[in-house]
Amino acid sequence: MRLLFYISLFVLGFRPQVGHSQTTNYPLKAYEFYQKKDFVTAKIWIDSALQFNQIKTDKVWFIRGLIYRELESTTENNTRLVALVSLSKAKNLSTDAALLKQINIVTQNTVMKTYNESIDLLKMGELNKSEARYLKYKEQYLMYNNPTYNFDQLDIMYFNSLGSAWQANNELASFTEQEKQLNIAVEKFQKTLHIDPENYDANYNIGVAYYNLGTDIIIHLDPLSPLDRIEELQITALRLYKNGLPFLMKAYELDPENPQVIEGLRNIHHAMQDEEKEKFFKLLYEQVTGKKLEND
Amino acid sequence: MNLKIFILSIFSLFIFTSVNNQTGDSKFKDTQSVLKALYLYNFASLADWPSNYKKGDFIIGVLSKDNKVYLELKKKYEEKRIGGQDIKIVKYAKISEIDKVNLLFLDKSQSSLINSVNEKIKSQSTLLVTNRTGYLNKGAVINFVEINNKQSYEVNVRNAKKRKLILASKLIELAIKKIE
Repeated sequence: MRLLFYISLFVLGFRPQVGHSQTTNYPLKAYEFYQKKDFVTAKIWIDSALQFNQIKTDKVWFIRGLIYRELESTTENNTRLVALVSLSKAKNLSTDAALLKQINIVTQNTVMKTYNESIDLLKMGELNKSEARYLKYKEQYLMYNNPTYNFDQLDIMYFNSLGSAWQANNELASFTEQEKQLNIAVEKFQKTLHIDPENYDANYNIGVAYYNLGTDIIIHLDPLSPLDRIEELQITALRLYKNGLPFLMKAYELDPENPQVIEGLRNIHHAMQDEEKEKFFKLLYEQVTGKKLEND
Repeated sequence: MNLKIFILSIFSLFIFTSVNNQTGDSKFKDTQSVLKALYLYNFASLADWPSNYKKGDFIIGVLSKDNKVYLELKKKYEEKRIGGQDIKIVKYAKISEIDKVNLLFLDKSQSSLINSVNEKIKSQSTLLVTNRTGYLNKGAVINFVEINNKQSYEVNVRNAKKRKLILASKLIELAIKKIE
């Protein structure tokens, strides 16, 4: 409301004497349609204002930014980008502190739309699209908001979530597909580890991802598998356990009293037929939590 | 960045992360029992019994303090057949319950009973499978061993012959150790 009130104040100040000789006040017309939420018509008027070189002030660019940010953005018609470019031009031209403040707020909100889309896509399971949107958000943020912003903490949260989503995505897939998705999940967690090698969640999740895939191979073995096939699949599962174990150990080193990782280590040592270590972590779990492990 | 929007967005991601991380939990799966049951079925398929053991049900007996291998066998193999015989899975609470049995699995948890078990089945053609180091020399025909983080087995062909059992060459070949 405060924003609309502010815009009304300066739009009412538009007069056609500036610039082109035509009498129509294009920005005012554009703003009228903007208020009526007819953004398509508003766009025509504001573009006309710029096309006829009527006026190219900070306020016109600002209105253009407002209008374009409301239009549906598609790959072919990237109206959000036009909005951001317009807002950026407004920012560069403006010397009005109050207007600059509003431009900044609208720019931030516009960029945030891209971020929110990436989170919505993540929730919908559109993981590749989500990542592409997230990268676009970062690019827009650096270009239009703050070129020196440090994304490390947000990257850690985002890529841990993305990795978990890739893990969750693979439960019904074939083994080959599951392994492919596991590798993608690991790659996302590795992005977190690249920023922070001491990140518990990423280490734990990589370890568990390998453990879960290894056990799935064994659990879903055809009950009539011949002896040589059992041997072959045990080797495949073992390779996965060996990949996962160092990450679980790292997570344990980072948080040695976390029951989650202690249980994970008990499980992976059980799968690796290491009775001594399985027993060690089982007892440790009981000491830490005061209760017995499930399915024990 | 607008602080309020940023906090809301982070919160939304945090909620998503918390919910989604549940899928990353390490869910315990008893892979050892799955493998043992699968091996036991293969042992049963790759051995030959005297004709009086090829009548009626094919009995796979389990002597163990827990139910893990027994339940795995029951779930996956009770409806199956070995040769012309229906497989029946039996769990024994004590040695006196052991009767005519084609294959007997003596689990590690009950391995101290080896002498009594040997005594009980001495006149039988029972394929005795154990799960403890050194038990190949204590009457077992097959003994489970864990080598290089894998489930494997060793075979005592001599004990098999004593019990009038014939083991397929594939079963012997894939053993980690053989006593012939």
